[in-house]
Amino acid sequence: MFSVSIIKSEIKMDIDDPPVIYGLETQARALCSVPALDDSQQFIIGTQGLRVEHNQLHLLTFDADSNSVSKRIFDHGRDEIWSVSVAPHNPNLCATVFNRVTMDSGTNPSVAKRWCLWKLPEEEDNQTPRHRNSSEDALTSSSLSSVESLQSIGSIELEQQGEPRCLAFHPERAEAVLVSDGGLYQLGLGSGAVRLLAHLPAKDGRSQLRYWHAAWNPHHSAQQVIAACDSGGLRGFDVRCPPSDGPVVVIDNAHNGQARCVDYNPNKQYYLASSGDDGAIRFWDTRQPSNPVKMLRLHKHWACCVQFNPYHDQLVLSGGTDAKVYLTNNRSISSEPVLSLDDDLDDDDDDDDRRQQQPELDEDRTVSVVEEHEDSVYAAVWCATDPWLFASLSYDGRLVISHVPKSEKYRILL
Amino acid sequence: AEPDRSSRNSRLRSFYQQGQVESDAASVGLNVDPCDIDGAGFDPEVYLSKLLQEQPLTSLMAKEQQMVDQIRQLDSDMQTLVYDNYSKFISATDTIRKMKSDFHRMEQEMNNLAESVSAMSQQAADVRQHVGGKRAELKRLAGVSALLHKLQYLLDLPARLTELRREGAHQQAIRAWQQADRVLSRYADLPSFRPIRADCLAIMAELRAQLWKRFNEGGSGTESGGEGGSGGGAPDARQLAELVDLLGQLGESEADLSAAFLRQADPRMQRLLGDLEAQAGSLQDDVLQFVDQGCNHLVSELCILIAVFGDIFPSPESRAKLEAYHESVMRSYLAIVSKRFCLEARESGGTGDSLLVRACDRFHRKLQAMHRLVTEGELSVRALAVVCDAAAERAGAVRAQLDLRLTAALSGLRSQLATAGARSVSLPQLMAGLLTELVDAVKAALAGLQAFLATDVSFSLKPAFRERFCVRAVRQELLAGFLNHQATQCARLAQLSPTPPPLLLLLLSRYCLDFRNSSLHYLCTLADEQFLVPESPQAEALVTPVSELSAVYSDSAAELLQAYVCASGGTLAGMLRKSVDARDWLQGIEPRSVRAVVKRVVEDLAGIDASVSSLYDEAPSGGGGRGGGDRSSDSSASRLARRPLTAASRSQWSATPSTLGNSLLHRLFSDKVDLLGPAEFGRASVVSGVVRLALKTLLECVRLKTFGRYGLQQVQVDCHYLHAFLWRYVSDDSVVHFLLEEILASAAHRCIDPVSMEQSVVELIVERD
Repeated sequence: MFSVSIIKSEIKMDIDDPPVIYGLETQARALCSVPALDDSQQFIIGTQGLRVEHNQLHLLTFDADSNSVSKRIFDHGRDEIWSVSVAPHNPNLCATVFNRVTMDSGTNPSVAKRWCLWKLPEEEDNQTPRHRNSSEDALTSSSLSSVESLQSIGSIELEQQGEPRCLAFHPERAEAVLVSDGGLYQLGLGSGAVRLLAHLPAKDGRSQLRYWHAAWNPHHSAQQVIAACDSGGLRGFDVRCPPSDGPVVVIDNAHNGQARCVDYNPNKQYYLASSGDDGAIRFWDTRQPSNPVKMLRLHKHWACCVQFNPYHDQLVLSGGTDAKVYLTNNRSISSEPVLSLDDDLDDDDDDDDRRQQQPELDEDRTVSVVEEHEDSVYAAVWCATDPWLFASLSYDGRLVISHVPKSEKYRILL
Repeated sequence: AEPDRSSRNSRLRSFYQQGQVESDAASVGLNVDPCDIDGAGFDPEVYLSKLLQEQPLTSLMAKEQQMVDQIRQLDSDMQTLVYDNYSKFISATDTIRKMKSDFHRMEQEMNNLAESVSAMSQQAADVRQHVGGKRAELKRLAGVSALLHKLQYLLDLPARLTELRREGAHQQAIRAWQQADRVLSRYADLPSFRPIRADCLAIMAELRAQLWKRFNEGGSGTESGGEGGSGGGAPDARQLAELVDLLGQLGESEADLSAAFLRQADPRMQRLLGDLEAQAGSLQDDVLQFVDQGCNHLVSELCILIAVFGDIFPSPESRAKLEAYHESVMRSYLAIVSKRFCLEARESGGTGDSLLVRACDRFHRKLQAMHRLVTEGELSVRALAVVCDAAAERAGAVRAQLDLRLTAALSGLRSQLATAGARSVSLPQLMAGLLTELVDAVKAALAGLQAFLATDVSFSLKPAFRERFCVRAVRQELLAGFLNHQATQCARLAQLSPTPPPLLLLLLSRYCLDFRNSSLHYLCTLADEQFLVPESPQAEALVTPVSELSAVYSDSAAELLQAYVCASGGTLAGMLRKSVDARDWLQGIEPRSVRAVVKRVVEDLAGIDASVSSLYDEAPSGGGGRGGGDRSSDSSASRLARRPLTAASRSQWSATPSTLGNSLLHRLFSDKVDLLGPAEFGRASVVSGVVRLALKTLLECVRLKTFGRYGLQQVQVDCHYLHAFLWRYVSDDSVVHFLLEEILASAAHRCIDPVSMEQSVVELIVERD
């Protein structure tokens, strides 16, 4: 009890760390959190420069002590990166979806979207000191002298592939789902080779769907994958069923316009969140797909991404083309139990104090807004290893690494 | 205390005898005035000489005269006294003489008496001599005779009891038995008494049974008497009281008797209740008839029962039992009535009000009358509660009708908008129609419910009823509830996922605003007046304040407007998105014209502008940046005209893509533009919201594509066209400026071969379109 009050006074004295800003010279859309084995806080971002000679993947390691970022850079050639993802089971395995421009006969250029799996080279210890980028000189990225090269694991040509959008790694197995115009392709990644396991064509009866994003259901050893469609609907598939069975979850008109992103609640079965062009974040219970469990209308334009905090699922991160990143607490629909009365009865000293906070505690609310972006935010992710850290990337190449406000953190922990 | 003092004085005097003489003398010498004519020490000489010396002649003469008169007076007084004494003396001597003669006669009578007494003593001595030793024998015989007498009585008792029972002289029979029983029970072990006692017991049991039977008949007799009216029960009551008395003497406890009495009455009550209950479930019978039946049969009988019971069993315990019974019957009755009323309130149409009110009134009156009979319990309060419930239920039913009306009106409006198309209907007219319809509906509903407050209705003035019905049911749940429901219902449309037609949203937004401004206050005041809602803090605590409702309406209006902006902006955005997605921007020919979809967007925007301006006037509340006079007179047709090229400041904008660096610089030095802020209640703000949304979407779509040289040039042309036509619809030109520039910059950035078109050519193409 005593310790509680001490911490409380600390909260008041403690000021939140300022967000760390890291700048790219080119535009960027691709951002992914790296589940580093040593629990360091890493993010990977890819540049999107159409006419740039060297597109890059930047692997950034956040140092909480100095509140700064160190980086490793990997060369991605001329191909502009549209999406990047890192395998949860292997932080060195990453996949990118990129645009490759080819000039045939000089005048008629053609552009093709492709995807590839890469192996990030192991860090060579003490070879060169890591480049440190403190928040002050954030906008400049360093010379290309220390650029490392990626090792391609490979990619396979798929039938009716169309434009690939992104690759969603399986949370446990060496598998992935490639999201593309042609549908969902379940890929096996084991034993050093990529092979097609199943193809779930993007058909809805007769009409053709286009998938934009997909997420694995982390529950029940992850046998389901759900995809967001450009028609605004969501389609969930069970990979154990033959593709001809069609979707097991159908949520039509989840969004007015295109559905852009979907994410499963990591702690609460059947719950998922989706975002879309109507700017809304909707929370769904897949057992009752007719109505959303909850809706948030925060973004004034497209809501491009939404993600549950991997540990505290009441915290939801969302980014949109209105250049805003919202961190919301949706306690009412989270796996977090409602505070029992007994908790209150225990303390005597700060009983009143608590009771005053009580209604506030239970309410769903917007915890914080990242205002540092000036252009559309296409990606915002939680750090895979630190529940209180998240990063967001705007189109102008600005990465902002922010903390969950300490007051919120202690409220959840205490 | 007085004798004490005198004796003490005398003792003191005897003790101080010696000194007293001296002190007396001294006091005499001091106090005796020789001139006091009435005093003891009067000295005529001194007095005379004093008079002679002091008084003048005239007063001397007067004094002499006065003295002469006084002396004469004294003389006559003395004479009178002497005569009086003399006459008393004479009468005393007469009395003594008379007494002497009376004594003579008394002496004679005393002698006679003495003789008689001596004769009597003589006779007594004779008798004693005769009777002698037979005295004991006589005493025994007398005892035996008395005993035989009693035995005879006992032996006759069964026959006597039978006789009495047959004659109906229950009272005597019981008294006889009670007397005999004492003896019989004392000698119950003697064999000869046993059969007698058994006979008697049997007879008495029969008697008891007979009495019970009559008692039970009497109980039912009250019912049959009850049909004729309350007067018919009275004689029965007296008989019943007698029976109860008799049975009480036979050792039945009052508790048993009262319980039996109630048990006796119960089946009929239950039957009546059952009848009522059966009726309560349906609307077949008139509710008035229902109340009449309940009142005339059940309540009347209950009244009679209570009256009779009260007469027969006056003890407090019985009273408690009666109350419990009465309570149980009334509880069922009230429940049934409440059920019937509520059914009536729910099911009957608009015509049911007066009937229901009359039924309630009759019911309330009857139970109030009954309340006077049964003072304990809160019958009147509970009857009022039933009436309140019925009235509140009615208000609830009216509310439900209003809700249905609203739903119907909204869906009607929706279909009207869907079938008629955007241009052919007059939105203000539709809105006014909706406003009138719903306000009238509310007014009609309130007017209908006023029947409950008619002055001739017995409960209309009860404070509890006022509080429950007027304040809570009508003012709060009906009116405030409906108004709130209406606002939230409208706002709910804004949140539907497949959005309803945008025009509906626009119209309802204006409707909410107008409702707030004109009707909200009016309806609340009207209800306050019609239903006499008091301005007390208690009433205010129960009622949602108008300001709160007003805020709800404002919020709804804003939300609907925002939804409209999103919906119509979304429609335009969808068109743009599809057109961008579908086109192959990489391969393609040099642009010759503006893309059709862009023209379509501008046309649609004109339509949107026309719709919005028909409901929202030019001047927005927040004040747009430039509500210039050149625009206010424009009709929507002239708004379609392109930007006049003469306006120098505007033509400076060039459709040449600036580099990303420029855009960054622009961002650095310009304030962060709130691209998609909330729309205000004004034409310009709404339409520019739509424009911004469409352009922002176009920007995002462009960023997802890769362009060839001609693709970029097409975007250039489109942007220039938009720039030329959009300025009219926006409140702040700079935002459109910024967005178009941003689109061009993004397109250039996404272009493999960024060669832009000559500005003059772009203008030429746009000019041609």
